[in-house]
Formats: sequence, C-alpha cells, structure tokens
Amino acid sequence: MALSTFLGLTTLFASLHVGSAVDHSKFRTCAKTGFCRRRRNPEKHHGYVVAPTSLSLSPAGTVTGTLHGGEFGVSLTLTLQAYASGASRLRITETNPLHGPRWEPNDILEPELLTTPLRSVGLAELEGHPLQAAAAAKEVAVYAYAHEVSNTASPSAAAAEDALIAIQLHPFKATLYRGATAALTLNPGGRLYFEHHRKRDDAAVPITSVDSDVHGGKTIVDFHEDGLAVYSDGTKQKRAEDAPAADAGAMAAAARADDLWEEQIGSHRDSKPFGPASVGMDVTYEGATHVYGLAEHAAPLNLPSTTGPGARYADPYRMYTLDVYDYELDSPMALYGGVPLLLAHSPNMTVGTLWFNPTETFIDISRRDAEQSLLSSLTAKSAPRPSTSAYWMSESGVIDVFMLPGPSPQRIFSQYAALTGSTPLPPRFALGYHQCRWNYNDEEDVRYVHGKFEELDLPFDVLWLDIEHTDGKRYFTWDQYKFANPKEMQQQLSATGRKMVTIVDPHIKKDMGYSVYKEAHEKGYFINKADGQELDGWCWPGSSAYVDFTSEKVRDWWASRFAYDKYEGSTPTLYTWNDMNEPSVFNGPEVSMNKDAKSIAGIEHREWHNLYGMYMHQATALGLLRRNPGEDSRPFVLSRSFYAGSQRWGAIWTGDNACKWSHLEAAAPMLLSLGLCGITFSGADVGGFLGKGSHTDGAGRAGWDDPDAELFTRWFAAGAYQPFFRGHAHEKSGRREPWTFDDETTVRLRAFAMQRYQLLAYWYTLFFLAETTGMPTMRPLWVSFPTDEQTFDNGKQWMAGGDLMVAPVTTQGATWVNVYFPGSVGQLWYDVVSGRRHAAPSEARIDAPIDAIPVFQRGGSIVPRQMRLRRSSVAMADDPFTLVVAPTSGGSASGRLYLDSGDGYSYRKGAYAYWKFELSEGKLTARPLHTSDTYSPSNVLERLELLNTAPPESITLSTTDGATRDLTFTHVAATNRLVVRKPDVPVASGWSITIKYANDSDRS
Amino acid sequence: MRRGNLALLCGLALLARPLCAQQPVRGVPRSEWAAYTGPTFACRDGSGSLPIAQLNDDYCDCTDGSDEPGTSACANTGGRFYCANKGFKPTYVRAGLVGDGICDCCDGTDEYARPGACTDTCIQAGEAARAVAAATLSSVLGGLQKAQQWEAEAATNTGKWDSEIAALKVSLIEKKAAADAIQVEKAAAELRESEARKEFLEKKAAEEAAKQAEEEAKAATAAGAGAEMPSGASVEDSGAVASDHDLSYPSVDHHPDEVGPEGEYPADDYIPPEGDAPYGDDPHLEDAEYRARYRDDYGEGGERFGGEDEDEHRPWSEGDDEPNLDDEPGDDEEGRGRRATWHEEDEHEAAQATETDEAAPKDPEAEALRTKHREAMDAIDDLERQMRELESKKTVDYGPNGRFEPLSRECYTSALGGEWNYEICPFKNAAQKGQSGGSTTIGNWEGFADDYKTLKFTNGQHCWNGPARSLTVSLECGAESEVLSVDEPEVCKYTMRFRTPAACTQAQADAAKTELDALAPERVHDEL
Repeated sequence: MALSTFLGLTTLFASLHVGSAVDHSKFRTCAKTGFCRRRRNPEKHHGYVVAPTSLSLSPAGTVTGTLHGGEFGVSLTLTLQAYASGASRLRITETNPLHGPRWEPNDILEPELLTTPLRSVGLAELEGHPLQAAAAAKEVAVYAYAHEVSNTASPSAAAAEDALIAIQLHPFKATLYRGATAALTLNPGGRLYFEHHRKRDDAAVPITSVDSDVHGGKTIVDFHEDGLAVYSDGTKQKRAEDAPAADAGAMAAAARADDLWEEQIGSHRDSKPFGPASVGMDVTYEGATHVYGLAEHAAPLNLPSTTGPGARYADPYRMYTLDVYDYELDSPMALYGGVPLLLAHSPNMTVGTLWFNPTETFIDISRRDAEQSLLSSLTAKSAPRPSTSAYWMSESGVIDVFMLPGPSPQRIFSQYAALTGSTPLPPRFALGYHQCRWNYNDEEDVRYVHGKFEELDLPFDVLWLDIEHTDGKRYFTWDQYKFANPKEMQQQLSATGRKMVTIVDPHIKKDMGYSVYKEAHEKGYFINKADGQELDGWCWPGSSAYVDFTSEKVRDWWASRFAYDKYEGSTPTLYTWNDMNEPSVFNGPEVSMNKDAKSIAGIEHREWHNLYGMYMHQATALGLLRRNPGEDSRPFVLSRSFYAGSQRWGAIWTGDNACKWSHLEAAAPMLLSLGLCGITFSGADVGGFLGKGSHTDGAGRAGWDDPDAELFTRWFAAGAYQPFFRGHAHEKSGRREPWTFDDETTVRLRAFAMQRYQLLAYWYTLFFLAETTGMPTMRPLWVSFPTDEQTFDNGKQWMAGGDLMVAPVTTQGATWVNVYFPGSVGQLWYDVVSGRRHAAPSEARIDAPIDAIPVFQRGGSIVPRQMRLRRSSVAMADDPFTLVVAPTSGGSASGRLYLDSGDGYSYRKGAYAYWKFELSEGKLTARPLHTSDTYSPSNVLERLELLNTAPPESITLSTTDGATRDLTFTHVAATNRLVVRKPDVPVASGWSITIKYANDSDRS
Repeated sequence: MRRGNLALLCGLALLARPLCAQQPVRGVPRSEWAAYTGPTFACRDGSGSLPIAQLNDDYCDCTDGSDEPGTSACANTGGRFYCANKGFKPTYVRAGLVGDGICDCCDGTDEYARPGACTDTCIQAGEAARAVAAATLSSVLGGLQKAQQWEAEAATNTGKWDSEIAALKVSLIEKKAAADAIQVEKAAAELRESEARKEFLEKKAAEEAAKQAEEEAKAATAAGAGAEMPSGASVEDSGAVASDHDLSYPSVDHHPDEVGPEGEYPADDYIPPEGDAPYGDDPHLEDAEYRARYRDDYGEGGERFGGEDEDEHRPWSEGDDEPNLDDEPGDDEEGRGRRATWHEEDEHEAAQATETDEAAPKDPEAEALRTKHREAMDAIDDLERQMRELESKKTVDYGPNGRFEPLSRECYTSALGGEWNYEICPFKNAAQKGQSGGSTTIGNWEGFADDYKTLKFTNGQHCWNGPARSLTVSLECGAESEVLSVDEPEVCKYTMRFRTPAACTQAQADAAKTELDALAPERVHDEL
C-alpha cells in the first residue's frame, strides 16, 4: 500500500460503519442553543478598539486597557499578564458590570501562579522586526516577557528568550510573537463580542453599528468613560439612544427568537434571569494546519474543521459535560468532560491557548492555506503562512485566554501544568490491570473472580464493584445480603496484594433514613432549584439530591464521609470511582441539570456546570487522602467527568464506549487528546462497555454483540499499552473475564497482561515524569517527532512514553498492520519481540497475528523490564530488572528508571531513586539523577539485553566499590541480540558494564 | 535440621550411594533430588546443560525453567515450586508465587527469603482438611449408596410403568364402554326432556301471546344484554362466572396488551416522583435506549414501577411475558381441578344459551344422567392423563440407569438467606421466589448437559429488553439433595450448585478416599 494511501486511511478515522445510535434530538446543537445561534454567524462583526491613552503598564508589569465599540457600545476592561512558566493571559471583562463582576472559579488554577513582569518594548528594540513599522506608526503597543525556550527536559540547560505581545489598537487584536515569528493572534477577525449584563427593558437594543459607519470615517483618538469615541477633529460620538429608536415590538420579538431572557431546552424551560451573557472571540494559530486537544470529543486526533474549506463537521465542537449514552464517533458532540485547551502544531512551533471559561462553550475550527492568510496578514511583508482559527463562544463568564508560547511540545506541557497542575504519581497498583463489571453480584462472586485470576495465573491488581453493591443505590453503604462482610472481602483481596474499588456517585437518594442524605439535607449542602428549594433529580436511586461540590465546605464534608468510621465496611485497600458526575440527571435537560439551578452560594448552574465533575473528583480524592493522616497512602479515584485540572485528582475514562471495532480504534485518539489536555492517567473500557442487551434502538432491535475472542484480545492488547487499563462490561452483556472465551484466548490475554506488568516500572517512571514535567505518558507520535509531518495526522499509533511505539490492530480479521516509523533519516526502531530493525522514515507492513501487538522500541533508548510473571504489582515490587538496550546506529542509548515505595508521599520528601542509564562507546553506565538516604531499592539488575550488536569478546562489570567482574553472555547471531547474564548489582547503584569487541567498529 | 538428618543418614552404610551425594534442592521433592547431582545440570527439555552452580541461582537459563525450581526466576515458563507442607500434604505452587511476599504454602517455604514472614499453618490445615475429606468421603459414600438404590428402583420402573399402563388400558376400555352406555341412556332421557320442555314452552307462549310487542322486545333486549359480558369488565366482575374459575391466568392488569405499543410501562405501575416525571416531560427521554439504560429493574426501581409482588429484577415481567400455559402444575389434584373447570365452563355456556327457557322444567332423570356422564368422562380423562404421564416417563432421560428419576418427584428450594429463594423441580421447571411472595419462572426443563453433570433449564420468563431467563445447575455429589448456591453472573442467566446423590459415582468415591488417605497423619508426617 502506498504511503499516501495509508495516511489517507488513518486520516479518515473510523472508516468503519458508524451508526448514529446516539439520540441527537436529546442533545443540543449550535442551532438549538440561543447564544451559539446568535453568535456563530452574525450578520456583521462589531469591532472593538483600544483607547490608546487607557493602556497602562503597572509597576508589577501588568498591562491594563479599555476596549470600546462592539455591538452594544459597552466598554470592556482588558488585562494582560505574564507568568514565569511562559504563559501569558489576556482577560476581558465588563468595565461596569450591572450585577457586579461575573462569577469566576478561583480554585481551579494552581494556587500560586508565579507572574513575571511585562515590559514595554521600545522602537529601538524592534529594529528589523516585522512589528517595526506598525510600532513606529503607533498602531501597536508592544510588550515583552522572558520565557524559557529550552527544548530539553533538563532545566539546567534552559535558555530564556523574550516573547512579544503586540496589541493592535484599531481594530483591537493581540498577537503573540516568538522572536520575529507570529505564533498566535487573538481577535484577528474582529469577532470578539461580549453580551453585557443588562436590564430586561434594555434587551435587544443593539447599537446598529459602531463600525466606521458610526464614526463616519473619522479617526478615533480616544474614548470617554461613557464608551463613546472622541475624534481627531475634536467631536464626540453620539449616544445610541439619540439615534432614531427602532420598532420596540420588533425588537421584543427578536429577543424571544434569540432566546435572550428565557430558553427552551427540550421540554425544559431555562428561566435565564440574567439574560444574555455570552462572550466570544476568535484566535488564529499562525503557520499551523494541525490542531489538537479540546478533549473530550470522539473525533480524530487532528481536529477537523467545522467551517470553511474542507469542513468535516457542520456543528462546532461543543464543551458541555454530558452523559451521552451510546455516543457517536467522528463527531464534535459534547461528551462527559471538557478541557478548553487547543494546541496548534507546525514543524517549527507548538503553541496553545486555554480558553478559561467553564460555561457551555462552542468552538468553530477553520483552516486557511497560505494564500488566504496573506490577505489578512498583520504585516504584509512576512512570508505567507497557512493558519488555523478557532472561534470560541461561551454562554457566560468572561473572556480569559491563556496563551502558551511553546515552542516545543515539552514546553507546552510544562506551561500548561504550571497553570492547572500535573498528574500526581498514582499509587503503583493503579497502573496494573483493573477488573470491573456492572456488577460482581456478591461476595461469593468476588471470591470466584479473584480465585479464577489466581488459578489461571492472570495478573491483576484491582477488582471493582459497580452500583449494585450498595443498599438501594445509597452510596457508602453495602447491600446487606450480597455484601454482608465487606471488610473480610477486602481483606481476602489484599491478602494477594489486590485492592478493591467501589462506586460513589454524586446523586444522593432522598431518604431521611439514609445518613448521607439526612446530614447533607440538614446542613443544606445540596444543589437547589431556581426557586431555592432542594433540587429533585432522577438518577439510579430514584428521586435524588445532588451534592454541591462547588462549595469548599461541602467538599470538606464529603471528604469526611470517606473516613473509615464513616464509610462503614471500608478498609485502607478500598478506593473510589465517581460516575455520573457530569452531573447526570435523568429527567433533566440533556440528561443533566437545569441551568438555572443554584449552588448554595446562589450561583447558577450554567456558570459552573463544566466544573461539577472535577469538584466531585477533587472532594473524593481529598477524602481518600484525609482518611490516612499519616500520608502513607495516595488516593486513587476514577472519574468520568472532568475539566482542565482534573489530572490532579486521579484517573479519567472515556465513559460508556461500545463493544465495536470502531470504538477500539477511537480509543487511541480520544486518549491521546486527553493526554494533550493534561489528563494522562486515562483509559477506555477494554472490550467496550456496551455489549449485548445493553441497548435497543427505538424499534426494539438489539444493539450490539458482546466481544468475540478476537475483538476482546485486540482490545486487551491495546489497553495493555494505554495508561489506565481496565476491563469493564455493561450488566446485560455476557461475562468477559479473561477466561470466558477459550483456553487459547486466556493464554493470549495472560501474555498481554504480562507485557503490561513487565513494563510497570517503565510506566511508573513515565508517571513520575508526568508529575514533574507535565509530559503525557501516552503521546501522539508528533510529540516525539515534532518535525516529521507524516506523524501529524496519525492517531492510530502512539508513543508509550518516549521509547515505545505501539501500533495496535483495530480491524476485524486483520493479521497485519501498516506501521509508520517516524523520525529523521537514521532513526532506528526495534520490534520488541523479534528485535528486527526498521529504519525511519518508512512505512512497513508488520505481521500481527492474534497473539501479537506490534510494539517497537526506539533506537537510542533503554527500557527497564521486570520479566517475572507475578500475581499483582505488589508481588513484583522487589523483582530484578532486565534492561533492554536499543542503540542508535551510532551505538548509543539512554534510559531512565524511577523507583520508590509505590505508595505514600515520602517520595515528595526525596525518598526515591531516579537513575539514568547511558550506553556510549561500548560502555553502559548507571548514573544517579536522584538518590536518597531513606530509600534504596533492593532490586537487582539480573539481565542486560543489547539489540543489534556484534558478538563481544568480553563483558566486564564495575561496581561502585571499584571491583570488577567478568560477566557471561550469550549472543544470538540470527537477531544480533546480546544477553548478558546476572550482573546481579542493585540496579539503582553506580555500576558500569564495559562491552569489549574485537573491533571498535562492532559497537554499532 | 534437614541437612543434619541427611548427614546422619549418609553415615549409615546401608543407604545407597546416590542419596549420600544428594544435597537438598529447594523447590524439589526429596524423591527427585537425585536428578540434580553431578557437576552439570541438563535442562529437562534438552535446551541446554549448565554448571550445577546455576541451579537455583535466581536466573532462568533453561527455556523450560527447570533450572530454577526453587526461585521465581523462571516464573514465565511454567516453573513450579514444591512445598513439603509437613502435617498437611505436599503441593506445588507456581514459581511466580515464590518470594512475592505472600504466603502460599502452608509451611511458608515459598517465602524462604523473608524469614518470619509466614507462620507454618500446615498442622491446622491438615486437621481441617482431614475433617473436610472425611466428611466428604462419608457424604459421597452415602450418596453413592442412595444412587445405587435409585438405580435399582429405576430398573423396576419401566416394567412397573408398563404393567400400570396395561392396567390403565383395561380400565379405560371398561370406563369407555360404561360411558357409552350412559350416553345412550342420557340421550334418550334428554330427548324426552326436550319434548316435554317444548310442550311446556309452547303452552306458555300461547298464554303470553296477548302481551304487547314492546314488552317482548324489552325482554329480548334484556336477554341479549345479559348474554354479553359488559365490555371492559374484568373477569372478576362477572360474578358467578369468575367464581367458578380457578384458572391461574395472569390478571388482566398484567396482560401484554396493557403494556404500551412500544413496551412502555404499565400506566398503573408508574408512580411519578414528586413534582416531576421520572423522564421529565421531554418526549425524547422516552426512547427505548434510555429505558434500557436507566432501567428501574433493579433495587429501588421496584418501588417506582413495580407492583408489590413483582420480581424485583423485572417488575413488569409477567406483563411482558406470554402467560405460561405450558407451566401446568404436575400435581394431580390441580390437574384434575383444571380439567373440571373446563367442563363446568362448557356446561355454563350451555346453560346460558337456554337462559330464556329457564322456566321450563328439567327432567330429573336427564339431570342425573348428565351428572353421571360427566363423571364418567372425567374418569376417562383422568385415566388418559395417567397413561400419558406414564408413557412420557418412559421416554424421559432420567440419567444413567435412570438414577435421577426420584428427583422428578420433588422440588428443592434454596434456603440461603437473601432476598430471593430459588426452587428447582428437576424435569419440570425452576423459579425465583420473593420472600414476600411472587414467583418468576427462570427456566423450563431442557435436559442434561456435560455428561449428566449439569441440568439445564431454559426459556424461562423473558427479561424486559433482554433474553429469556435460564438456569444452569452444576451437580455435586452428596448424601442429600440440596441447593448449595445460586448466582446470576449475567443478567437473567442464573447458575446453581446443587448437591444430590444422583451425581455420585464410584470414581468420586475413589477420589474422596484417595484424598483422605493422602491426608492421613502417618503419610503427611512421613514426607520429609
């Protein structure tokens, strides 16, 4: 197959038949949503201008200014700030808001964002810069701040460079420059709008125009505080009220049509007491044709356009956390979570923006090629570049955009982590295999499943209980018949090193006999309806109230419910799963909550909807943290809903996927997008949640089948190389534990589970790096090969860390896959099973029989493995290591290994070992990146495997005490694989191994 | 200790030389130590030969893992570790369980590298296992005895049934002949009766000829209305008609037709939550997929949609299912009762048809003959039914040598605690019964499977939006027949463990004996 054809197929994504099973009528589109309908394609754009004299730079280095103009002539305040991490932030708020400042969450971003001052950039400094002329003409105000541009992971090698931000005054737009290159522009098309809070009587009295028509061709020199322009001839703009009044009746009709003061969502009425409040702006990513992120959508990795040439979707991407049953693939529809982060990548730059607004948001993506971009270029002199634009529209809130200047993918991730936090190192067991089902019926069932895993030597770490374990869906309780002895059950699991997870959802059964409800009810900790009465929503338990997780004191209360004496039957090996936290309200609009419901602080649901799931996730994680005062145990909480920053609280999964090949294929781009959005501890239900019997269409026809052995095997293999690895199944689907297919399949599944567990320390090291650098553990190829344009659309393969590339089979009946080997000329790849080499850049057809998943180790890497099949992660903690060395064509390689106690927080006090292994000129050396007096791992190096090497003459080990010892080895000529036997030194110690060849040229 | 004993033994000239050269080999039973002597060790699979120093050196050299019987190094290659388990019985555990921090051998030797990590529990384990094995053996032997008894009974059954059938045939002929005779008498009497009544009525008609036409019309209308059941009235509403009926048809409330055209919930089962409908007034939320998901068929959902006596899992199940007419009770009395009501029904219809003739006198003789005839027919029906049952018994597979046949005469109910009891009636059906009443058929007899180790009940009541319920019963041997456990691993697919003498075989008895012997104290203590 030709390369182009192959890439074409990967781009097409989910080319298998995609049924339209989701109920489209239930979920709103842009056209059915008032603010999006009003704002997506307005008849005209009403520009804003910056009053030149309003711009000021504070001593602390913050720029403020006033925007005038717009549709309503209401002035806005602009704030520009920069952060030490490299990000800069443009905020636009109403200068004189009718109801005071709009609600904004103050506890989502990292608590102390370290700012860095902006400085004004003079003309002299712009000598030769594309901005020179515009600055000289005072068309732009230019500011700069220092930011790190280092490409390397080592901070010591970081270099600082100035980022420039040019604010164009008339019309307003702001461009971020990296050096002389424009990276991104805010409001390039003048689409900024801000529906100010207003009195109802004032509704729909738009100023017909504040554009040049209004100003009659006059030059604006200033604006007054009343928002009217002052012209160069000394005259002043007239007030809109002085203009002839439009027909009031027609206006009122228009207002209704535009859903300004109330809105119908299905059969639900949204009372909208504050009227229209939408805000929006466009952003152009200069030079980029590839954009990523905006998790969570079931869309290709490189997000297709929604408007303009080549638009794939008719609707914009939507961000409104929803419980979407049987979600559709290849769609911009909203799903369970939403991170409004968009990354744009081109071969020489990665940039991004975080649209920090938690209200319902639509995003239109459009692309322009170089010629189209030329027409709108700020500086006509610059070479034409293609660009991609995103037009962001939010229902309420303020305009608050973080610009992430990159320029490398690594820098983007650290810049984003500095804002929203990174993924804390999970307890090590959480990286093992998780076995879930709705439901394991009772304690006997749990014993049975546990016993089968033991009997069949199938490794696993966690067994999960879904909603049926409770007493009538009263979370924090146990069914008195089926789970009469929960502590004993957990102890039986922990006796073999296993943990248990129970589900705890946010809807609380309205039952005064249920202590959780009674207590929260009496304290007034539930969400209220618009009229102030406790909201009554329908969910699993029936009539339910919803905990107000937006309140810190309620989160504290919720956390306290996880104390061992409060959550009866819980033990330290019990962890938690938060489902339905979009929130899912079965009888609510779009299966969620009325937008005019109120938090106990009186803030409307529409303001914090997208945050609800994250706040719950946070509260639960705090509960698991606080139940162990000794801080010797890390929380593990899985959540379905999420927002920017959810990575701080635990893992995320992609919700109710379906048992279809297409969903297996879709898992990779969805998880990659999550990782790009900071949420790297993520997974998709292995096997596909919805199976036989879990669905019927309107005509009563059954939806899908359960997975057959082939689909389940392929999915299990792929899941073994994704960060969160859990098998799950709907209650009406058949049992699908690894032994339920046939004996051969059980053997295969065990082998794939072994691959996972062999690499557990590798994954653990990746998660250490995720915490410390923000790097995702599962990465798109382009993150590792940012200049290889062939990778930019590839959502089928991925990098597990920097050293392993995975190319799963996602097609029924396939026995091979086309694999693209990325990198520049000379980059080698090694098949992890056969050791066979592949040279990049190339594409090859790789055999993948049912018992294989193509995985390749990057030439130049060293991967630690623990080869012994154990029952669980705990059981292998002390096992020896094999280092697999895959050298570059020059014979060099390096790798890292992080080790700690596997749980607790002593690692944050330095109790960990972090070592680097380097092969250079025939010598493999272990070097400490971090050592500790309080933690020294006993794991030894039992084996060294060197790929692609000639038979050596001798191999000598040197240890820290200066002793040397010859090592025995075997060399397999057929594969050029060298296996060195038993160095038998602590892997985390200062050893080196010298490989002596007859000729130096044999090293490589 | 062990080494000391060995040295002592080696001092005795009587012992064979190889034993003296033996060193203990961790993870290998003493009887096999001899294979590990000498300067080299050959992998069992012939994959290589190693210096003996590489035996159990915590590095896997042989592809079959045979060089590391005492470590976890060959955990990936199916290696296994021998624990002597003195006081219990020796076992092998997987190599991967060696040194993993979890005590797997009762003597704790799999965690030898962590002295003190495990306590030796073999003595207790041995005692417990002996008690269990002894009880098992006793139970198996008891069961086997009973099974043999059942087989013996079954051997006589076929002959017994044949002679019963023959006897029945004889009486059937007699009864039919008697009935025919009564029929002749009855026909004659009824002819007389009919003529007398006709005469009476003609006379009466003449007397009433003078009455006005509208009165006749009125009378006719009243008669017509009386003959027709008011539309929409329930069976119970029809008074006498219903009172004579014991038929256990589902009540009209649960007739399938009452379920909405798209399977909506019965309106009278629907209790909306306060202030709002459970799916809102959003018509889209009524879609089947949402019902499929937000199924109320579990737990508290029953409060919401289900009737009080309904199956918690499927509150609408009866309404959703066809009335199970095949589910005829096997009980003789009920069978007769049911047949009788059909006759009464026929007669009642006949009475209705002549309602206008009520005033006409009935002939006492004819009446008596009718009763006599009915009784004769009933007796014939009964004999025929008995014959059918016996004939069908002859065709039923009652397992090897018919040893399961006695189970066909019993039903067994789980008494496991919990919300539900489960009842199986082998060769008939199985049901789930709520503590507070209500019963759901979870399967009808299908047959044996898995070489008579499994009973299958299939095609039970349908789950809403799901499959027909089914039950798979795994048989275990024991002295008594009893339900051991019930599970529902997948929705509406039940499994049961059932103990019965019929499942006992000589092989099981032998195995139980072997097990007990293996645990005999003198044996387990003897093993070094």
